[in-house]
Amino acid sequence: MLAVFGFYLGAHLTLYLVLCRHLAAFQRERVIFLYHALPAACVAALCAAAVLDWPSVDTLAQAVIVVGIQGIYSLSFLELWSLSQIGYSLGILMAFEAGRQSGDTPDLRPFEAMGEQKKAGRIEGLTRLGLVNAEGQTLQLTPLGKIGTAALRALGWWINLRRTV
Amino acid sequence: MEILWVVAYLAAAIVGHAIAMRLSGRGDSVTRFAMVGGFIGLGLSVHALFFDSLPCGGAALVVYAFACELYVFLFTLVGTSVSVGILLKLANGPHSRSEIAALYDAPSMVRGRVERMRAVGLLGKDGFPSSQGKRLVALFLTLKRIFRHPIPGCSSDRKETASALPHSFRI
Repeated sequence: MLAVFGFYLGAHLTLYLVLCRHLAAFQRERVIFLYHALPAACVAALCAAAVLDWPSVDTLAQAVIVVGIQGIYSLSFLELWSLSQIGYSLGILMAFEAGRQSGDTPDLRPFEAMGEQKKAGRIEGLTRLGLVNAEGQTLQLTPLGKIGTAALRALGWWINLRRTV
Repeated sequence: MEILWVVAYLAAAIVGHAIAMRLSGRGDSVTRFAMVGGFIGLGLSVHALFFDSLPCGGAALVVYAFACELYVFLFTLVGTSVSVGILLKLANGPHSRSEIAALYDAPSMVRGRVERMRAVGLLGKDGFPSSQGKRLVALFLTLKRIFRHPIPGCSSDRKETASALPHSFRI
């Protein structure tokens, strides 16, 4: 099972590097998410079927390894893809370095405009996810949003995080 | 049975991280978790080596690594995400769009990022990227090229892209 999974993982990455990354559709968040989510769901279903067909501790352990590695691979890939796509802090760092080289004050105005776009997009995104209810100009949390926010706030308290913005 | 051990080791890592975050000293939340989680992961490896069969020990380590990555993803989201910031603000009660816009005005978003980059040492005391900051930018520029994301202010042409970058970021 592990050898077949290793081959699949290599093929999935190679297909992206050789073909998919050159396609315009793969610049969209939804497409890249589905590129990982759909095969991951298939892998999980195949692992469950294998455990049901050959029930043993060894099969279960291999299935857990496969699903775990798939999770690590997909989560790492999507995080790196997303971080390098947005690159807000990255762009600010580049502006500081460009300013140092030219001897001018770094021009951060493009990032302020980018920040406005991010904020507007996020409110719409939160509304689509059913976490925020937008009635006219008033925004408030939905019951689902309240549960999610309570969990996030608890995590923030747990690790003593202080948010800046 | 092994899964209970993984849960125990993971709980120890999460409690250890909470304690580490309340101690004074250097290091951001990710660095502190990497130290605590790495140390406890080492303990789990030794445990798996001596007490588990190879597939079960391997499964325990993979589950631990995946859970750690998920945990890091979640707490970095809480610390930095604009969406989470909006949700936390709305948890205090309904706000109008203009109030949210005023609270998260664009200049303060940029200021917040600059302060955070100073705090974690990506920007030096002189106000310019430290060597660590330059390395990080170089790494993400490589990733941008791999994923074919546009580089701000640069043409999609590879040669032009390289020449448009600040010299110290070229790789």
